Amino acid sequence: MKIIEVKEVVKVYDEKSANPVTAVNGISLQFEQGEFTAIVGPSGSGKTTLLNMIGGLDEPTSGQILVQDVDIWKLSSSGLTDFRLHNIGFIFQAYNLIPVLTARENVEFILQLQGKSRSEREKRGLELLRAVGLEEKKNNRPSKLSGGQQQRVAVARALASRPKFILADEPTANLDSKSAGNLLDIMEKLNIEEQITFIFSTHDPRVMNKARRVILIEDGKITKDETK
Amino acid sequence: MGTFLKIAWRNVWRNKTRTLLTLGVLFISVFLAIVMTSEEDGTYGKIIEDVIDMTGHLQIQDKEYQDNRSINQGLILDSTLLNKIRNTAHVRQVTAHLESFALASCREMTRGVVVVGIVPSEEESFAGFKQKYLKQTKAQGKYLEDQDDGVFLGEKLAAYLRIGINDTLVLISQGYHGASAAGLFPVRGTIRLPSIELESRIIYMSRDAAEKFYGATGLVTSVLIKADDENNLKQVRKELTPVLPPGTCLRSWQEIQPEIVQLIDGKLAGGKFVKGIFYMILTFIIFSTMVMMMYERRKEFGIMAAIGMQKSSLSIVVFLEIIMISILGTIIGLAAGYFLASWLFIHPIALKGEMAKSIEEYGFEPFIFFSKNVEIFYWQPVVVFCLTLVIYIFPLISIRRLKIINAIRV
Repeated sequence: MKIIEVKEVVKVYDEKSANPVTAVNGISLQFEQGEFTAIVGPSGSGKTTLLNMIGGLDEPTSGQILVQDVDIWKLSSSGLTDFRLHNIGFIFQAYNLIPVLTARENVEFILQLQGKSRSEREKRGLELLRAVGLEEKKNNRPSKLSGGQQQRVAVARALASRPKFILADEPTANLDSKSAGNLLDIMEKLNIEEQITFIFSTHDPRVMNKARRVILIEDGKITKDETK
Repeated sequence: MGTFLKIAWRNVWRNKTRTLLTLGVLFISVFLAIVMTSEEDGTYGKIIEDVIDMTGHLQIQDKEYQDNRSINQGLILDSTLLNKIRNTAHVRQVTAHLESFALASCREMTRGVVVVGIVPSEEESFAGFKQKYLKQTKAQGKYLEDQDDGVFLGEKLAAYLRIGINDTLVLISQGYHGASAAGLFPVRGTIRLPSIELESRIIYMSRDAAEKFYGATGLVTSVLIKADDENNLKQVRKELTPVLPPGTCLRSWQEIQPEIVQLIDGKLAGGKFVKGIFYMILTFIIFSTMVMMMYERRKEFGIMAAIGMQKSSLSIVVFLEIIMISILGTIIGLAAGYFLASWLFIHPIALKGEMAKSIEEYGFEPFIFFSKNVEIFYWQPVVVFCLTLVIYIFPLISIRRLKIINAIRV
């Protein structure tokens, strides 16, 4: 089932300057539910920009991003925030957990924003922390967790709202080899068992090896789209 | 809201040094503002209280009397009018003065003076004369009887005239409707008053003696009225206006003593200026804290908005943080200010040495008085809250303008 459709998307930075930069140049793509896809390419190729546009964070200069037939960039600002809350999970390179909340509170925060009941939040929060192997660290704040542990909390947070897909921007870039492998195993397991769609932007060969679809972007264009 | 409160509270203590600095500034500003306001309210309140004791809250006078203080601008005080005034709601005390000018002389010394004819027993309860000026200021001699034919005069005037108790004072003046007035009056005592100028030129005698001296039987120049509470003056004025004799009017103490009002207003304006500076410093420091906080947490705000937190919710969290710091700092400052002001209210600061002498020269008690009027204590939180709201505009605008993509790239 198609969940995301990218139609002729172009992103030009500094449009009005003398030297505009075209980061994404007319990309069209589709993502099916349950995909485990890696968008790869050299630095500055436009992969993160594409991910940000799909995630409703960076507005395309032209083209459309449809998520289950909703043109997300036609939504109002608050409508788009709400859309992200209910449909998209984010995993960032630098983890970006809320520093004043514990691991469990970070995971439950999304559910709180969704207006879920306390019991539902607690149940889901613990279930996800267990899934990423951090149940015993539930009361630790991010500063008391290692990089790998923080990223696993970030994965749990991204999954909390039961999103339609998860966008992960260089999720393993700041992790050591063991932590990265561990994290990828968790994400792969969730993908297979719960049919959660993962789209990665990455340089990491370990991610590329795990991915069942690899899209290569160079100079803002897709040069290769391969499904294993 | 519970989570927002939790996030806000934890954020407040995220940078302890900065929070403690902000709290310190808030505490000092609120504390100083309260103590200053308490001192102003206490000191000027005391001056106003003294003035009201001398003039009453309101006076009934001939319409022309304020500009032409002649005995010819007097009014007949009949018992019907007096009873109407006394029976008016919220009127606490009433007395009447017959006041005019005279030339006072003793041996070769002469000076132009103000002669005030009073009913000594009424004046005692009206102004606390005996208690306040004769006893506490170590005045000498004895107080007047209601039918007394003697006088007591300002200590400075007595010194100038080189006259003592039981000496005879010569008074020469123009009586009612141009009649000549002259008399010999034994000095019963001297008095200190809350004005050096007044003390150098005032002579009190019984109204009976003044009526005889000026040939103005039944005449008074002003009827002094004290209300039970300043807040009821409007009502007293409203009720008395219809019963006023033709050609007379009601004047407030502020109209009668505009120079006192001016003096207090001037001093209060100075105090407001200093407090304004406190609050400007306070605003600047809280604003700086906000700018630093917004700058440091820009990425965090971007991430929170990216994962689905509405900007309005982000604004609420920041607002709660500002309010928490403000409330905390204000409560500490308020508590310390209240404690000190209450203590100083009971134990006013006694001035010593030259300072005390110079204050006494002006006829004021050598004390710094403090007030614990409730308004002093609720106005400070209101001011801090309003400032907080003004400062909050900055983070509010910053959050509204937040570009998520730029913020998360920081």
